[in-house]
Amino acid sequence: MKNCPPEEKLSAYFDGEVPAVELAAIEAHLGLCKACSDEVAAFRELDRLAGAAAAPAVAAEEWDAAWCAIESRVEAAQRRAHARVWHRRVAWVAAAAACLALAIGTGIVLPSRPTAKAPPVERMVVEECAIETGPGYNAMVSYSPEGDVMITVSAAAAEEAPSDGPSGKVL
Amino acid sequence: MVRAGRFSKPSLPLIAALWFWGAASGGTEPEAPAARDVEIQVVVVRAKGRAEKPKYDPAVPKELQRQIEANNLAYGEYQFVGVQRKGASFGKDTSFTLPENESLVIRASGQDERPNLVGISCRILDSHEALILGNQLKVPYNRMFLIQRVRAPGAIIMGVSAHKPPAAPPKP
Repeated sequence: MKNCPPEEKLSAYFDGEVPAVELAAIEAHLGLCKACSDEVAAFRELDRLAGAAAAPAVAAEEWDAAWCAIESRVEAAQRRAHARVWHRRVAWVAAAAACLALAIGTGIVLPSRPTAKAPPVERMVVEECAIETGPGYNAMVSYSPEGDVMITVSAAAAEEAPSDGPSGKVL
Repeated sequence: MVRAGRFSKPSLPLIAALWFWGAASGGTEPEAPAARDVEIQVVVVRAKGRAEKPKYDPAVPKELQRQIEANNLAYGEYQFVGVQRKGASFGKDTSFTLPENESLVIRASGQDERPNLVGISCRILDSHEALILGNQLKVPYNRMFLIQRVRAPGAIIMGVSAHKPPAAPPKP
């Protein structure tokens, strides 16, 4: 049928949003046009079906779990984004360092010059530590991982230095 | 008549004053201090108690604290007793006072073949000058090593180091 109102107008009519001046004309048209009356009937059926399917009730615990899941996903996404930024920065720094090393190696940036060799780090004790004790005393030498030396002397009668770890090499 | 080789009367007091001044300054020249080959420094700390986190007297040198921790000592409190620094000649004994009337006698020796090292001979003597500990080792200058004298319930910790003496000022 000609002069059918657009679908939006029919939807507005169904929702009661049509101005009063148009309402009579639309209703008159619906009485004559089967297609438009079927369209309005379809709106009504859809509304009925939607109203019949009530939303299931959600418990508070389920909401909490859902929010936790959402937050964890958001945080994971933020971490990934942060890591990507850092990877990009590290990649830039590494690339810059590689370029600089290459330039230095090829003598572009700095002319080669003789460099003073770092003096070797002296071990604390270069000769075996000779120890003697008086009668009734015990002594030992211990080395820390840094090469520091400690000589411990104590009376033989069960006096012991408190130590949390291995006491090192004992001569 | 003017006679050469004779001083005039007015100049005699001046000459006498100069002679006395010369005798006072040059004739009694103070003896130069004995040359010191090395300076020995001994830091003495008293350790007591036990604790997971030690409490250090702020006066305890950081290097000594570092070595205490590096050697896994687990005393609860480290109390600074004192520091003694003495000039010493190679081959001669230098005595340092320790708590409980004990003493630490150190004899340093130079190392001609390795001048960056110094030989240190330590003896801890009790109040009757009987030997508690004697040890010899060679160490680099300016490096501290520890001697722990355990005396229940704590210990006396000595940080011993040898230092090259400051260069003498140039003679005028």
